[in-house]
This record gives sequence, structure tokens and C-alpha cells, in this order.
Amino acid sequence: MKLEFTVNGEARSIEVDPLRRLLDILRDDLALTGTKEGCGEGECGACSVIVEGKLVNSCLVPATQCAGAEVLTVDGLSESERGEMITESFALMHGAQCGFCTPGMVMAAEALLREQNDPDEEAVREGLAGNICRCTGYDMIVDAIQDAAKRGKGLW
Amino acid sequence: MSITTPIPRVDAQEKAAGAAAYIADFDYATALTARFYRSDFPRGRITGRYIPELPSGYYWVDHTDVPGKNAVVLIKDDLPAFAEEEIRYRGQIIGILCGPDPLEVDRLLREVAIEYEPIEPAPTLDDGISCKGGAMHGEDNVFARLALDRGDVDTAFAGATKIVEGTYETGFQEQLYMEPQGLVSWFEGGTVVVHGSMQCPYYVKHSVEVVMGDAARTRIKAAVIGGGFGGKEDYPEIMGAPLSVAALKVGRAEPGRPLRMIFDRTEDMAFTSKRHPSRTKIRTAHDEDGTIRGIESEVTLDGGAYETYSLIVLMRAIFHSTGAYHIPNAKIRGRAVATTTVPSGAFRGFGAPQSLFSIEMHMQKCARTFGVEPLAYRRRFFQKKGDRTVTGGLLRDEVILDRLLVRLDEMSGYGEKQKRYAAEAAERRNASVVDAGSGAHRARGQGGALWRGIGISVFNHGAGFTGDGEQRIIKGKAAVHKRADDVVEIRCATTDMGQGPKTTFRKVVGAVLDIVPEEVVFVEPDTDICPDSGPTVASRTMMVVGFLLQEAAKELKATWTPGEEQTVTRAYEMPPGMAWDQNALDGDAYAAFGWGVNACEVEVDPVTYEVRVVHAWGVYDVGKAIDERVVNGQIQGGMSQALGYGAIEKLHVDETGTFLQRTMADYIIPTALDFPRTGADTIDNPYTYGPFGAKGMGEMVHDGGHMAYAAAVEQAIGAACPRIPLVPEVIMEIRNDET
Repeated sequence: MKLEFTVNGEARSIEVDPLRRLLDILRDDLALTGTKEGCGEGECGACSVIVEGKLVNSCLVPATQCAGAEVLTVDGLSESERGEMITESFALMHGAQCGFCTPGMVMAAEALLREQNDPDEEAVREGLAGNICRCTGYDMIVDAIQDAAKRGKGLW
Repeated sequence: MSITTPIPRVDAQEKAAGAAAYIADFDYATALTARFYRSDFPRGRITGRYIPELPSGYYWVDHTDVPGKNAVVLIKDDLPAFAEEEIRYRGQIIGILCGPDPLEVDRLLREVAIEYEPIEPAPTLDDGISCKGGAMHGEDNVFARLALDRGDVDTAFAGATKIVEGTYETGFQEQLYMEPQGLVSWFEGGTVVVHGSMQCPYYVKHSVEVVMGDAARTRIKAAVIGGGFGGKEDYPEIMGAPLSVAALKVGRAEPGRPLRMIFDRTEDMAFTSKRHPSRTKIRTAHDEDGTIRGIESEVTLDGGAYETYSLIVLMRAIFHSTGAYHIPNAKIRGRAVATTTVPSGAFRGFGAPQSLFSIEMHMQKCARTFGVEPLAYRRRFFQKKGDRTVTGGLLRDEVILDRLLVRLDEMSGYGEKQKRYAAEAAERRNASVVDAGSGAHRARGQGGALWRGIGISVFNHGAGFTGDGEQRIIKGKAAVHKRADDVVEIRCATTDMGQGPKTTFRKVVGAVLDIVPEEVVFVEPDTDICPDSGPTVASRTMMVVGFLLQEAAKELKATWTPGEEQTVTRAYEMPPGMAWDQNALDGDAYAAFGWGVNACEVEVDPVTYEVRVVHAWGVYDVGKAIDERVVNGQIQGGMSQALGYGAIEKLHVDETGTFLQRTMADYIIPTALDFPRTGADTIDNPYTYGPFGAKGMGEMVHDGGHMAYAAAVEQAIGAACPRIPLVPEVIMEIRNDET
């Protein structure tokens, strides 16, 4: 099928198999490798992107569901003021160790902060429930997201 | 500014932005997809192979293509790179199929057929011990047998007024680094290159050299690593040795053509090495007041189908078998047994989390037996400076367990809660006696309040390689290199798999040279550029390699010549006074020990036996924290992993030895909601031969969470919990056995 959609604000038109995973389209067809594959079955959240304003696992989204959609990936988000704020907080608060889950965490943070711009710890943990991290025990990820909310007051 | 004061993690923003390059992110545009052909039967002898006719550009590679020795060298070399005749576990590597189209590679793999004579599998420890289906290793399936003897155990037991006995069991654990295993390899101009996700570039180099023989020189490069935990200590060799053979075959036909092998999660979980399951029998001989006169401990590890690392995991297990306690008379026996499962391998802690669980749960049992509060009981046997360890080593440094415990009590309120929850448990017991008399079933607590408990664990962890291994085997080197533009580079083979040396090594070198850490360059490990610093394992990164870098930086500072290129390399030297006899396993097993105390508070649902961890805390002596946040991040992450090990991470095998949990949907690791914020702290106790006083700590943080959790559950449910993971169905079995 011919897939026409918007990725990180840029209109794209590519020929793909209708069942091709959004994750593969992003990584292999569009060379946007910021989005990671951790499990390929929607359990880990490393491949989280925002489609039409909703946080989704891109490994579970087929091309057909992307027609006309607006997709935001970590590669795009991190260029924005909000994205820079979040990624900087991950460095300041050590919210990333191996870093493989982190792009997905950053997308989950953006989705959460759009909903609540000053989340308490419980809300942050709820917001991260679909994203697995094996390194940090999550505490410093929570710290990073709350730090971004605080330093970036007014951005969301 | 103290070295401990945290700085932003140097590599974190790039990682968060998705800009860091993991192996799957590299654009190897012309790469062929390479996949393993694995045995689909658990045990037997191959009698015939059918390989389909391959289209042009596709390759089949197997043991007949190995120019050197067909073995993966991992301490032992009993695991073949490609299986020849014998198969000992489902999933053993038989061949590699590679070609341009991944779907076509998969289709061709499905056409490969292997004929074989089956042999009865031996999936469990007991099957391995009884040599079910015949011995697969030697005559008795025992890979390794070790013994430690201190003092006079027979006299201690002969004079005892009471003997306490127990058997303790721990299960498999999957590392579950978030980035699956992945390597790219190619052959060009006489060199075979392996690039990818690995903890130990020089271990990969040695394993590739063995399969290559004289066919190629080797170069190994590490990419950014998405987690390791030991899982990328041995497996990149198991994967890289056969892959390099395939790269050689392809490269001879198509020079420089890369082979790309990236596992999906299912292949990774099903076939990469796990933590050794263990069973430990302990007997202690006591005086009337509970004093421990002697200990007999028998540790058995499930080594899986090939020996690989089992001998050295067993060593660490027995060296930690008396925990943080001084027990003058000890008879310790250890063995690692063959079974038809994936070879067990390295996992953070490397045998210590298993044996420390056993001794700590046994201390719980002793405390109950003698009616003493568990921490008060333990305190009576704490090791102190000047004591001899179970290997006869001398504890040269202050042991500050008492100070760690003061801090832990401040954070957790352990002392007060322990008393309160003990009183609650006593009340429940009394109520249940009354209920039992009236025939009611409220004893189980239906409709009642949650059962609460708090538990504690005390432990130590030997940092660095065992005994004189650093000097005799590893001979680690590390360099600081000053370029002509006066920029300083760190050149070592230590990888940053998330534990932070890209930040902390820069801090050490920067502090010595008065350079801002961010301006020091960390060269991505590459065996053509970086000296062999040894593997990134065994809590040796900061203490051993960091010390070499500190000393090299001091020398560079003393000889600094502006505008000139300078390299200073330092090689490991054993600290003075250390002595070790490898044959007798006698002397200083480790140069230094880190120490830790953990507490965990739980609530158990009396109907479903679901456990909620309400709080967890850890206080550690790591010598000196090079960065408070890096260290606390290790504590929080390591304790979360240990709590997962103790509470939820169930991994079982079927009747053939195949893992039943093969996806992240059925092997459950902690989410952000499973465990609470972990209280983390350290107390300084500087070590002379560590940089700025730092000791090893990366593994120790996985040593105590599971015991503190199990001890808390014991208090809550009023029954001994000698095995983990303590999932609700296990707690139910334990309760049913009690009543």
C-alpha cells in the first residue's frame, strides 16, 4: 500500500506492506533509529511513540493504522524544547543507565506531562506502567520526569 | 567538590534522545541476515543432516567450516561452537544460515532437517545427579567439585548441644537486559571483525581467535550496550565464535560483506544463559545459648548442559557460603551438575546471591530456634577486622556493619517495626489456637487485616577476581592517552553497559588532572586501540580498572608536556600482603569486600497470599562512592532485580529442560508499580587500593534484596521460607505444609 502520514511534522509517502509494523517503518524505512525494539510483543514499551496524541507500542501498530496519522517519535520530540527538557532531566537525575528503554520512557513522559503537567510520584509510576526498565528500579526515572515538570513549568 | 557529589550522567541525554548507537542502529546497508539453526530436540546424537539447496548469495555454515578449534572458550572449552554429533539441550547451535532476505533465510531454515538418535533428557538437578539417560559429562555429571575446610568441624559437632539443619533453594533467573543480544561480523583484508553488544571485548577476542586458528587476525569493537548483568559476559562469545566463522566463509567469497545477527526477545530468552539454580544443605552446631560452633554446608548448582563458567560460579558461591559471619569451624562442599538445559552462566553476583540466600535464611532459622530477634542473633557472629574468612583470608580493613545498621534503622525503623509485627504475628497465632478449638477457619485470616512483616539481610561481596586471578590470569591494563591537542582519552576495554564508567572513569581521571569530566574522552572499547583491561565483570570495574586509570592519570600529570602526544599505561599489581593458593583455595580469596545491609517490609494478603512490598532499603559500604547518584542508581536497580528474583521472577523448565517462560508476557520482571521507592545510602570506608578509596559494588546490590524479602514474608506468614521465588502459590504450599 501507499502509506501517507506525518512523522515528526514531516509529510511522508512510502510504499509498504499493509501489515508492516510501524516500528520497522520508522527504523528501517525512515532510518529513525531512536525508537528501540525490546520485545516485539508490546510488553516492554521501548518502542513507544505517540500516534494521533496517544502513546502506543509501535511494534503492535500495522501500517494500515497509520494512514493519514500524525506520528511523533523520540527523534522528533528530542529536537523540541519539551523534548530537550525531558532528556536533560534524564541526564541530571540519572534516569538512564543502559539507556535502551529510555527513548520509550521519554515518550511516556511526554504523553503523561501532556495530561498532567505536575504529576505526583504515583501518577508518574502509573504513567510508566507500560514501560519496562531493568537497570534503575525506576526511582530515578520518576525523579527525572518530576524534574522536567518542575524545570519546564509552562511548557506543557 | 567531593568526588561523591553527583554530576549529570555524561551519556544519558544522548541515550534519552535516541541518538546513542546500539548495534541494531548501525546502518550496515549491505549486511546479510544471519540466524542460528538450533536443535529442536533436547538430547541425542546427530546421525544425518539435510541442508536444502541454497539460492545464490545464501550460505550454510557449520562445524566443517571452522578453521581452528571448534570450541567456545569460556574458562572451560567443552561447549562446541557448532554441534558436531552430540546435542545436550534444545536450542544448541548446529549451524548458521545467512543471506540477503530475512524471510528467505527463515524459509530455508525451516527446510533444514536433522536426523538423530534421541537420548533421555535430564532436565532437573535431581535428574542430573542421578545421571538420567546416562552421564553426559564424565562418569557422574559433576562438572566441578570444590571443598573448603577450616578448623575442626567434627569436634564442633561432637560437642554441640543443638544442631540446626535446613535446605535452601533458588531458581533460574533471566538477566533480561532490555537490548537483546546482537553482533555484526565481517572478514576483510585478513581480519575478522566483530562489532556489537558485549561486556568483554577481549573475551570475545579470545573465543574468536580459537575458532579462527591462523585463518584471520581478530578485531573486536563494542557498541553502546543496552544492559548486561552478566548476560553479555558469556553469550557474546557463544554467539560470536560461530558468527565469526560464518563471516570468514562469506568474506572469502564477498570481502567485507557484514553478517548481522540480532536476536528477537523470544530467541534471547529461550537460549541465552541464566543464573545457576541452587540447592544448599546447611547444618550448624550450637551451644545452648545458640552460639555457632561449626558449620557444614553443601552447595549444588545446576550448571546446564556444558560447564562453561560453572567452576568459577561455584567458587564464588562457596567463598560466600558463610556470609558476613565468623564461624571458626567450617566444612564446605560444592558441586556443579550437568542437566539438559541451556548452559547456566554469568549473572550479577555470580553464585553469591544463591549462597548468601542460604546462609541468611539459615540464620533466620537459627534465630527462631533459639528465640532471639533475627538481627540480634546475627550480630553475635559479625566478622570484624583481623578475622579470618572461610578461605583463611585476613580481613585487613575495618568492618563497619554496625554503622551501616544504625543508618538502616534510622531509614527503616526496623527495630521498632520488627517488635510490632512480631507481636501482631503472636496475636494471630493465639487467635488461631482459639479458632482451631472452635473448628473455625479464621486462622487463615480470611476477612482479617493484612499480615505484615519486616526482614533484614546482612552480607558482603568479594570484589574483583578470585584470589590471585587478577595478577595470574587477567593482567589488566588501562591507559590514559593525551593527544597533541592536550585532550585526554581514556583507553581501556571496560564497557559501559549502564553501570556508569563513562561518567565515573571521567570523574576519576578528571579529578586527578584537574579537567572537567565532560572534557575527558572515553574511547569506545576496540581491541585495536584499547589495552586488555580484563572483562567488565566481578565488581572490578571501578576498584581494579578505575585504580589503574587513577594511577596512570597521576603519572600523566607528573610528566605532562603541553602540545605533545603522551600515553601512560598501568598494569595491575596485587596489593602487598595478599596471599592465595589456587590449588588449596586457601588465603585471601578477594582483595577487598564490600558490605551491605538491606531491609524489606511487606504486607501479605491472607486470602490470596499476594505480597506487597511496602518499603525496601539498602545501606552499603562501597569504600567511597565515586558518584552518589551512580551508586544509588546501582543500589535501587540492583535491589529491584533482587526483589524480582525473590518475589516474582519464576522460570521453570519442562520435562526436556526447555524453559516454559519464553516471553516478557510470562517471565515477569518488576514494573514501576511493583516495588516502592528504594531507600539507598552509603557510608564511607575508603580502601587503599581503590581510586579515591572506592571498592567494587555492582554485584553486591543484587546480594541482599531477596533474603530481606523472604525474611519479611517469614515474619508475616509465620512460617519458614526456604526457597525463592516466593510467588503466591509457593507461599500457599508453605502455609499448607505448616497447617
